[in-house]
Amino acid sequence: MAPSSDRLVLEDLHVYYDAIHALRGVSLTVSPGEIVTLIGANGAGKSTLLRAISGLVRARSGRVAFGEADITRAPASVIVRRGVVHSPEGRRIFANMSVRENLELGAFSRNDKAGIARDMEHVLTLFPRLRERIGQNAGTLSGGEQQMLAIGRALLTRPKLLMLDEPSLGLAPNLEREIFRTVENINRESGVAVLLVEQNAHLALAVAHRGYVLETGRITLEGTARDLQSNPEVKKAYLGEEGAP
Amino acid sequence: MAPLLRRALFIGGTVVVLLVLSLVLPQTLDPVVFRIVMLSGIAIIMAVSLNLINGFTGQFSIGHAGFQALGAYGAAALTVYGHNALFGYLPKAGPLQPGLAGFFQGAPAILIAMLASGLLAAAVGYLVGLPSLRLRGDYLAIVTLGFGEIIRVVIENTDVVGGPRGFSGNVEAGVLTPRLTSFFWVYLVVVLVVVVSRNLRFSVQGLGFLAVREDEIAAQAMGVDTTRTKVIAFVLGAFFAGVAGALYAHYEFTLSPTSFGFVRSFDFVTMVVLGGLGSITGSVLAAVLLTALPEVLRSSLGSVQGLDQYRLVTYALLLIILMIVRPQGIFGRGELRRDTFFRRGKRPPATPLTGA
Ligand SMILES: Nc1ncnc2c1ncn2[C@@H]1O[C@H](COP(=O)(O)OP(=O)(O)OP(=O)(O)O)[C@@H](O)[C@H]1O
Ligand SMILES: [Mg+2]
Repeated sequence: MAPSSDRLVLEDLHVYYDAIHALRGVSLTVSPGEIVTLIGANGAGKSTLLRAISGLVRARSGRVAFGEADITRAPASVIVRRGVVHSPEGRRIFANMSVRENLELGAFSRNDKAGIARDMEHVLTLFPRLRERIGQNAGTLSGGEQQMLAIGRALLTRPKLLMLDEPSLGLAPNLEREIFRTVENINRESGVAVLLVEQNAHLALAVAHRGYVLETGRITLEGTARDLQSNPEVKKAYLGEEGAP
Repeated sequence: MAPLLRRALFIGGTVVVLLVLSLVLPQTLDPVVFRIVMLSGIAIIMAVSLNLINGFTGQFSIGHAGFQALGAYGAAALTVYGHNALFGYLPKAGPLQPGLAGFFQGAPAILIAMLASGLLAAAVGYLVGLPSLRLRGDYLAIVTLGFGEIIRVVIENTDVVGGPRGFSGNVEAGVLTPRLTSFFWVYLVVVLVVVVSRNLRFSVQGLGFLAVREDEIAAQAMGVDTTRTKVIAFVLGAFFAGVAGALYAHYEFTLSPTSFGFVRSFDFVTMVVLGGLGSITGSVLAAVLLTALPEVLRSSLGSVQGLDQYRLVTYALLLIILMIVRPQGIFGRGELRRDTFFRRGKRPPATPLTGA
């Protein structure tokens, strides 16, 4: 979890699923050490955006760069090794493997044994419940514990930029806040940049430095978290408040 | 250097034990039983190697017998037609010299045959596997099914290997397929394929294989090159199936293209599923069970007509029942390990139910 000087830059990115034009020219940046949130309605293209960055889907045109490197066409396994890591929607932990094996898979692309051991210890300190359940099948964890495992697994890749897709999905409100506090701590302690996709715009804007609003494949608003929080349109559409204060 | 010493002792011990058994067993065991032991060994190689593909990475290959056919015919053609050039020291027909002398007489030839057929099967496996493993889902099943059938049809239409009549050597020249396969070679490869699988299973690389089976997207997101992983598993599996083919060819007098059809491929799939997808020990036990059972039935019931005809139906029924009663396979997905029987082992207990 090394702080770095690598900035993520997206330029005019277009992604199609066959005939569906899911991203229609998206440009955004995430600077080192930043928490940036991406908010938008269901089907706006938030997950698609993360997939395009991490190489799980291919952009038809446009450009993704991380630091000096153009990663638009790089294979997913190479992008992970560059430090851009995607924790996909729906947790997707390996249910038939132990908690330990899940975490070990996070370190799949690394071979610095000492560093892995250190990060493993760090993650288990961050999520003591995972330590208690280290030998247990991951499928038997509760939803919240699975989410912790998904984040822990992603941290073991040693990300420079961590992309989280709806980490609070299906969690009770207090657990939701706990997850967000953890994300904030990770960012503060180790300088990992975070790109956060969230349904809960309240919480997301509370932890983020900046934000983007995505509507049907286009960025329609961007600004500091504070500006977005007080933006009447955002309030109406995403914060569930009527009109201006 | 303790691990190195342990390894040296393991290899040396294995070779000595196998060699002694190889000299003793044919003399002491009933021929029917010895035949079951040999065929079981070859089936173990097939099942454990298929388990690398279907069990570890969760792909669905149903043409494994095709790779065995490739290895068998390739190896037999090599030792028969290469007799003058390469293997002149072997008898043109009939058995090798008895005892240890025969072992050394046959060793170079069977080693070359195994290696050549393994590499042939691996190369073809790469060509067959690469395009379909890039795609998702069921393409591999369709392609491997087709591949198995194509191999059979090609063999049936290739005269130099006997076509539909089968192949037992170059009869005009009086060179028959040499009987090079002894207990030693079969079980040496058994040990090899089990050790390779086991080491893979408990390595980080192997964890990547299992991750591909569990969730391809998540595996990719963690940096596993999923296509490469699947291709490695497939090519490695094909290699061992080719080697099993070479062993089979030099054990049986006559190769027949029908021994390697779809039904045979289905046998191996049954073994892997029955043993528990991914379980190495499960594949071993199921391979022995499904090889011994029909032979035992055949020899105990004598001439029950058409017993073989019902095998496919029986296996299908067996699988359906298994899926209902015990979907994880008879032996489950885990391994039978030393610490299953003796309380020791490096790992903490697999499933502590209460937190520390
Ligand atoms: N694999 C796919 N094949 C075809 N269309 C897809 C695929 N994945 C997403 N889409 C479509 O692309 C659009 C964007 O989907 P995406 O999953 O990126 O939305 P999202 O903003 O993440 O939504 P949610 O908040 O519901 O997760 C949607 O119209 C969706 O139907
Ligand atoms: Mg989504």
